[in-house]
Amino acid sequence: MSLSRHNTLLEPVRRYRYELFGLSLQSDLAIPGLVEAEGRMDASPIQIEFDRTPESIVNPDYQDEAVQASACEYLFTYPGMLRMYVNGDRRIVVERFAECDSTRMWTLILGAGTSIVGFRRGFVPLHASVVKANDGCVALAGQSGFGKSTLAASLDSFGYSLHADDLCLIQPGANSVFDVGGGVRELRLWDDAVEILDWSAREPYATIPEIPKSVYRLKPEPISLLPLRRIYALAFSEESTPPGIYRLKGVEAMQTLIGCLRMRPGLLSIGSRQRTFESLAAIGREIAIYRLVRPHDRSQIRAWSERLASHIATCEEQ
Amino acid sequence: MTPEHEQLYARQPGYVAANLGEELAILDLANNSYIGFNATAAHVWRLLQEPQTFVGLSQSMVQEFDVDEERCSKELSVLLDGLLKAGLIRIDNG
Repeated sequence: MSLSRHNTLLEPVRRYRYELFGLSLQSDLAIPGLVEAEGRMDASPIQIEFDRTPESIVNPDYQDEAVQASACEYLFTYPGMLRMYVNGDRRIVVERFAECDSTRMWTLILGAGTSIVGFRRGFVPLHASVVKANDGCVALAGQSGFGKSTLAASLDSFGYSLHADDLCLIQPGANSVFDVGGGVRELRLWDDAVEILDWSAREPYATIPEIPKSVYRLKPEPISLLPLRRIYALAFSEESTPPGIYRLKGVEAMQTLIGCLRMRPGLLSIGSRQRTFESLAAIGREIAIYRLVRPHDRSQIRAWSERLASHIATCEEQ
Repeated sequence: MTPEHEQLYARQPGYVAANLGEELAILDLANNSYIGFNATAAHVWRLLQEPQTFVGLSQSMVQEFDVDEERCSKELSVLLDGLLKAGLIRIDNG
């Protein structure tokens, strides 16, 4: 048994409360720069604790170099940074190593940690940046390096403001409505993207030299749940697929969604795989999914953002 | 007509199907994989909710899709072979 360092009889526990990605969070430490939630919270908020974690999981059903997982336990190890233990759908325990700075730590907790607890609660975690559009939102999905944050940053200048970056946690609801909760309004941009977007004059909130990326915080907006209107899966053009925006349907749409999940495919086999499968199918049926294929040339990002902005505008006419 | 055409084909249990418009995806719970079915394969899978003979399946396909009987029989035979090999269906001997 271990005791949290705050857990004494004399001192009441101070917990910081947030609403992010459609989840209620209670953390032992404040999330830098984020305003705490007011009012009533979810009856079972996710607890983020900072304490010792187990070094391994007994008899894991899945493991690779960074993750061990069993039916309700997950252990993520990021060498030199932190170990994160997720128990069920409401407890994240973080053991931070001395070398891990706060920005990296919160990126990992709010990315991998909330993805997995959201998944445990029946949400579908997509690797996507999300922008607000027409009283709803639109996801720009794709694995690392496909330009999600760069496109989201560029779309901001066309009036589509950021809803969430890097994680789109989709909540299947009644009547074919799929809601997405807002995240921290910050973008992690590659240094060359900063130049192309002409953001060099802006002061980054933090830098991550080893990647290298800069973190930009945008003007705070109320964090809300918005219905998902569309998903654009990002891809680069090849000989067989010229640049363009293509509608995907049926099996191809579902396959594309699976390719954009923000979790290791092996983890899908643990826990609620049937529920996830059915949710993915429902999203594939009910939400318009497109493949946005653009050239590798980053200097064309502005032109492609403009084209995407015009395409997103058509969902306002639907 | 051969005796094989009179035997009954039936779905194996343990699969979860999800409709994707005309197409279909099937989750294989035992192998943690999923299989995508195009519109014609999905139609056959839906018919196999009840055991069906080759002839019954073929007649339904000809009615549903723009295909002649000969080509339908050939393609249906390939599809059923594939489904049998993948363990998705079985021959039901009653």
